[in-house]
Amino acid sequence: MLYQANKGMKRLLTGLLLVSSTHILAADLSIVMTTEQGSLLRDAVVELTPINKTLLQSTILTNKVFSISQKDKTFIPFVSVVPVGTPIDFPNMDKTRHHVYSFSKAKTFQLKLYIGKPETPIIFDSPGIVALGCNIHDFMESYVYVAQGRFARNSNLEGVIRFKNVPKGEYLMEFWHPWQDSKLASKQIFITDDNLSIQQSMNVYEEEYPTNEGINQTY
Amino acid sequence: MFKSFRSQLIAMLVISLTMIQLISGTVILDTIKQDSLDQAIKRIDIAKKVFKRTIDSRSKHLSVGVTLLASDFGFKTAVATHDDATIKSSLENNAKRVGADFGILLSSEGVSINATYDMVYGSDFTQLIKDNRRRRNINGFIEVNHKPYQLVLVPVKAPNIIAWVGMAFQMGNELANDIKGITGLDVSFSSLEINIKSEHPHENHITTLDLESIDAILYSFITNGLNASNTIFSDDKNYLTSAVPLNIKNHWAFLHLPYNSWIENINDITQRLVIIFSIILTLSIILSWFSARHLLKPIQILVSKAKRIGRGEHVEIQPQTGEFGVLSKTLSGMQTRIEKREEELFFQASHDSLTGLKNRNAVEELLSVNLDTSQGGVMLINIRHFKDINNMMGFESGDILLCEFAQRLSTLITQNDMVARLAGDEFLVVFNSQFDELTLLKIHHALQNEFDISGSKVCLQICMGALFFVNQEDLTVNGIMRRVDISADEAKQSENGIAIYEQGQDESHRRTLSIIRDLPGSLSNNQLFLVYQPKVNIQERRCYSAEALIRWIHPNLGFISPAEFIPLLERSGNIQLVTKWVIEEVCRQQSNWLIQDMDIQIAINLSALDLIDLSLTGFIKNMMEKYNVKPSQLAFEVTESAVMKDTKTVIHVLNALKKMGFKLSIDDFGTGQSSLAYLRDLPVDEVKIDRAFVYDIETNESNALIVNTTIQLSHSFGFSVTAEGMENIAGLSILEDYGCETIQGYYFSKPLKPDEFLNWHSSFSYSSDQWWKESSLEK
Repeated sequence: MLYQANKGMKRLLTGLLLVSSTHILAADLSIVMTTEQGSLLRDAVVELTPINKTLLQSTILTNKVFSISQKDKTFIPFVSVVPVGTPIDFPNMDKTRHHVYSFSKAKTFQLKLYIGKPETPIIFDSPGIVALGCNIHDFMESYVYVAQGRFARNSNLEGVIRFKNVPKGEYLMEFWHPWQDSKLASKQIFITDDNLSIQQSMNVYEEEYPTNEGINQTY
Repeated sequence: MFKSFRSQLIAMLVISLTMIQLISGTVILDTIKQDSLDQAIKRIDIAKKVFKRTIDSRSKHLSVGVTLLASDFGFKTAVATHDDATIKSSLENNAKRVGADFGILLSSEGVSINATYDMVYGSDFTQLIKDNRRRRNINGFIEVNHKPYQLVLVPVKAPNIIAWVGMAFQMGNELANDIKGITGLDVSFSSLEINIKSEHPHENHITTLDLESIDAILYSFITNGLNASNTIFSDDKNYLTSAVPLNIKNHWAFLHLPYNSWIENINDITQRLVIIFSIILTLSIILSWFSARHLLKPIQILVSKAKRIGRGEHVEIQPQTGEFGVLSKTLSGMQTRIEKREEELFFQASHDSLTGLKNRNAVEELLSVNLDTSQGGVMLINIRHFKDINNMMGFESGDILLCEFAQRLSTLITQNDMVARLAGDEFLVVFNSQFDELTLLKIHHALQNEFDISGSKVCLQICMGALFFVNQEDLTVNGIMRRVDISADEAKQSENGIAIYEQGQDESHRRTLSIIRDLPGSLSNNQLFLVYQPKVNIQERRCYSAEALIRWIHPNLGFISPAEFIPLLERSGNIQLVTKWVIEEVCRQQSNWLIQDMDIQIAINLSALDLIDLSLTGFIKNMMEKYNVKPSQLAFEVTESAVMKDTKTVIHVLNALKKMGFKLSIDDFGTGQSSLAYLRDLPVDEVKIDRAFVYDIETNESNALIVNTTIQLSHSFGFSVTAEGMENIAGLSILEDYGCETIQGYYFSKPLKPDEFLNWHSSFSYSSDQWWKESSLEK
């Protein structure tokens, strides 16, 4: 029941967004994430939080169902950014069983030994970071960034994050990366009607992405 | 000590060998020492690796267990849900399983959450975690309750790191023994800071050594600077120790290599080196001794030959090669020259250079060697008046004559005999074979045949003294020469110029020598003494004077007659000594007699030699002054023969004596060839007629005539007359008849000693007339 209601809400919010976008002045924001050493950084998460809280109102829930699949004993994707309340499916593409678990405060759950797709998706209903692991395959690792607002994305393979039609205003820009060495301080950013492109570096330790072969890796 | 060449050679060898051996020995020992130290250090390095491997393997062992625990889902769940009870039991269980001393759970930041050992809470792990947070596990050392622990920490991942779980082993005895078991090295774990500060340092040692040793080792480590690269000997060198840091402040592991055996090994090698060195040295000394002998053999041969040459032996010298060749040639040449010179010297020493005959030395040598004295003899030949011949014909001709003479003499003897020229005209023949009077006469005759010297005919007068060896004793060289000399002397006196030595001649000769030799000593030894024979004035029947006569009792020869020794003393020239002694003695006696109230004139005999002594009068004067004697108390008698010699001086001396007031007499008148006519010119007062004419005057008419004539003649010249040697009263009356003034003879008295003379004189003065009575004959 709750799920049904959410679905309805999402649709409504989507409609509102479409309407308002024609009215409100907005601009595109693109951020290039790099390491401190200068290489492009993927899977860095940036969340923009409007300082004017009223803008939060315009946050809309999507009813899109996320999925974090397990293929070749690897969670795909490595980092997922979802808004609060997003249900996530954990389809198992492998022939082996997986036991997906999380001891994170934002969402603690277990999906005990299953093949195929569990019956129901897991709803990530509080903001925060959820570390996912597999009890059977220790090397499997995945992170879910449960964002409070709508402006939260992770960088693509080229380290680029694009926010489209960010309404004019002042924002708190927060950063996170699963391999961050220390938490990067939040920054304030003012969005005008001009498109903005910035670059941001993060202090991360470099690590291989967890794969099937990862178990053989030495540290 | 090292005077000889050989010992110098050996000493040099020994010194150089010793130096080489010492240097090489030192180098070898140093190398061995360095080598063994290197090996020891290598062993310690290996031990260090073993130590690290052991630590590593323990940490692996631990990390497997801890990793298992960390990946256990139940444990993860317990950690994630902070289920402390489950976590603690799980840690305990796991620690027990892997044999760890304690288990621990830390937060992802390193804060202690849970532990099976409460002391752990005092330790801080945050830095350790911070430094190693990306690692899959942490292998390290921590200090808990002041003790070192090996710790393995593994992250608890879900899948991000939610905590760290760890297990720890104490670095204790078990580990130390393990490592010792593998490496053979002793192992210690120590916290140095605590040790320095603590009052009970031993409590903080974990060691397989005894505590005293480790204390000493640590002390030397601290003083030398604690450093992982230091490898240090303990003071007693029993251990070589290296330190390994444990990555905990002030905590170290120490690996001790027992170095005893290494040192023993080095000592053993040192001993062996010494033994080898000694053997080599001994061998080389022996070898060099022999080789030096071999090298020096030629020199030693030459040295021994030179010594033999020095002793006068003739030595064959083999020519040698090399440097010694020169030496041997030189030596050989030297020997030849020495021998030649020796021959020349020997010839010169044994031969007369003029005639080529043997000389005195050669003869004496010949006589000194074993001479066959059963036959043969020697003969000494003198040429009379050779000096005159030399003066007349010149020395050159004299030499020629001597050579001719020598040649002729040589032809007169056999080959066994030998002729030698002893001096100028003196030749000696030694007969080894037949030698008798006939031979003597034959040679004498042959030598008296004339010699033809550069046209002049010369006849020589030869005198020959001979000594036959037969029946002679003491035929030494001296004995032979002395005796043949005696007979040669006699030959000079004899008519035919030949004399043969007779037994005893040698002895009388020796007596003569001893008389001449002993006389000067006898003067001071009281062997000589004076006796006095009265001279009686027969006309007044008084005794006014006496003659002093000398007597000698020799300690060995006994009484010696003045007739024997006075001529000998005259010949030897000692008579003046005696005369002077007599003069002093008489003067002394006169001074005594004067005290005893006897006034008498004493006559002293002067010899011919005294009369040519110009100092005589001075001496007499001195004596007279010394003893306070008047000239009238002394008289002097001189023999007839004495006044005939060297007349001028004699007359001078006599005149001087006369002038001094002495009465002078001619003694022994009638025995010489002098005439009274000659005597008339002499300053003489009295003539003494020799006893030879007087003693038998009563029976011998011719003597009586001579005496009578002499007395008359003397009186006519103004001389008084004394008759000597009158022995009986018959003679007395005859002499009275002849008018003789004075008589000296046994009839009145024999010569008397001073005291006897004093007695005789007083009794004669008292009753002199009795001597003219017939009855006095019976006395």
